[in-house]
Amino acid sequence: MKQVFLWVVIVLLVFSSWAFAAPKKIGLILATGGLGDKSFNDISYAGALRASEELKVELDYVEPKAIAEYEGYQRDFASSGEYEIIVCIGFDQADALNKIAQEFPEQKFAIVDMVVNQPNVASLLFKANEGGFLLGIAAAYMTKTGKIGIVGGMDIPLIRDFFLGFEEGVKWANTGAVVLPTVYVGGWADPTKGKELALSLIDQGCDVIWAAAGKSGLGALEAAKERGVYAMGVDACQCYLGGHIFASLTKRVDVAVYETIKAAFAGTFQGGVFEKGVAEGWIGNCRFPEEEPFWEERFGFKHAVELPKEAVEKMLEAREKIAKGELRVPRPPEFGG
Amino acid sequence: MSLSQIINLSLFQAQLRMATPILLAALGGLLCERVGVVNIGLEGIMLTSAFFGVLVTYFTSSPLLGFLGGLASGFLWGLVIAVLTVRFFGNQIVVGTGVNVFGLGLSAFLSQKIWGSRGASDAVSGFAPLRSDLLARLPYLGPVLNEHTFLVYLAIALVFVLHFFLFATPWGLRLRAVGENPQAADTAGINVFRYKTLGVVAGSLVASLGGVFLSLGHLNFFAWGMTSGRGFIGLAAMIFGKWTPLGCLLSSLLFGFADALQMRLQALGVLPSQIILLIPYLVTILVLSGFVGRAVPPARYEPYRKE
Repeated sequence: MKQVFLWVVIVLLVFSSWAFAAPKKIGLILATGGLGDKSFNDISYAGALRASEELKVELDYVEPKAIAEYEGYQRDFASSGEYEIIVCIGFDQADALNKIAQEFPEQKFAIVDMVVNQPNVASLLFKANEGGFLLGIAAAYMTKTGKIGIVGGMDIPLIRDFFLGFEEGVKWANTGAVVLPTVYVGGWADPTKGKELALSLIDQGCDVIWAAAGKSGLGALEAAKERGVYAMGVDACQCYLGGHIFASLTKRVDVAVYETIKAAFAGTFQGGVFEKGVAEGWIGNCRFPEEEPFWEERFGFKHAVELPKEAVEKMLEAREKIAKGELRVPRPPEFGG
Repeated sequence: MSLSQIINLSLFQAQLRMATPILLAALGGLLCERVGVVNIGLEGIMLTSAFFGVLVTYFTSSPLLGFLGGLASGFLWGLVIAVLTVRFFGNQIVVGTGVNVFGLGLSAFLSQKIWGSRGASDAVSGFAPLRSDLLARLPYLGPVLNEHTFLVYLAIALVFVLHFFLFATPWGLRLRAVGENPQAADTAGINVFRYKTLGVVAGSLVASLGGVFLSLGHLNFFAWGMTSGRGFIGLAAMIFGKWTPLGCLLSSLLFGFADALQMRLQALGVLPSQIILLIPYLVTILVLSGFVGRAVPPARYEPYRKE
């Protein structure tokens, strides 16, 4: 008797949620770093929030604490049926999403920074090499010793993509500056090693340091501050961290997320790979005239270092050429380079 | 590419900086193991003290108070571990793992509450490096030893203090006896529980110095998981050092050297970075696989029950 009652309740619940369907919502599953990272997660959230305000739909988000939690959240969101689109932030959600997307073929998904080959998933990729190219130009104009050092988190295609473009940008600027061979921390959460690597680069004469190494990179920025040399940021504007940081490559996840959500609600959503760069505004630099106020307002600071006018002009020139297809920035073979 | 590009002053300075947290972890582990407690929670102790060092400095703007705050957290951990493993005969591996997991969780939770980010804290002003003109004039060794934060010197001093304490004082003898043969020590009238507790608390305190070095002596901020396994490498250094303070110093310097060398080799761009990044791990495996002779622990790692 008890069991029968239980079944009745379950059936009723299922039907009621189906029959009285509320307007669909936006689902956002952040990367493990969580909100407050002033980077990836915060920017993604900003994009989703903008879409939610403009479309007047509700936004639900979760902050998983471990990779193992992704699958559970994805399934929870998808099985509820309440979401027009579920946006997954970060490459490490791919394995879980590949599974969940097949379980829920009617649900629209988007993933940032990784390809998931399912018809109902939009994979949002960024041409980081183009951003690296533009940043390289800025670096080439800022160095006085003519030596630039770069610190990577791990030697993986995603990071090599940044650096390949960067090295090419330094060459293109043609100021005689060179980039030393990339050094890698071998992990994303070891700022101690990041700092030591940057110090070793500075000891070798570098006076501009760029790190694309997650939390390990914070150590590299600290090393530059300690030795009084310039540094650059990545992913979001990191210049608020110190006056010595003069420019940052910006990956506009907010723009990508916003556009994808809008498309989903407009009914124009399509699965597949969407790889965009400076032409579409998915990749930029916090020193571009139109971006600078956005970041300064967001993080409540002012850029301390005046970038040479020539550097900004060169960067804008390069951006235009890349957008028009006159300039091709190399990529690692994994990204079709 | 000349050799002087790799083998130079900055290499040895970096070696010393990289060795310091490992050395402090090793010394901490050593004190615990000498009284018969395997402290696998060193990593968690270091992470917690790194966190509280920054936290207290953040609120008081005094790195000295932060230093004390970090030590206090190490002291508390020591008490917790001692009570659980010595008083209540808890399994040492389980307790240590608990400390590691708790340290990760606690620091993430509190950073989120205080700085609104699980990733990293705001920057604080840590300890400035000390300079001595006299030391700088010393050939070769002088410039390498100069310009470090006081924690580096404290770590080196601790090596000799502990060596003297363990092997030349009656208290050191009792401490070792309690680990080596608690029954005999008990028969000789030594308070086994007290000495075991003392060893564990002192060891945790020393390890917490390593955490404070990372956050206040090296980086001036806290980042989640910033110990990155240094507590465990400290344990390896302790075994390689055959459970003696001087041995710990030498083995930590070796690990520090492997790391510092690896970083400079990468910038040469001759070998693929993956291979160069292997070097420190290769050294660890070689060392631990009995490359340096058998490692015989000085104590039996089990709780002592009075008969």
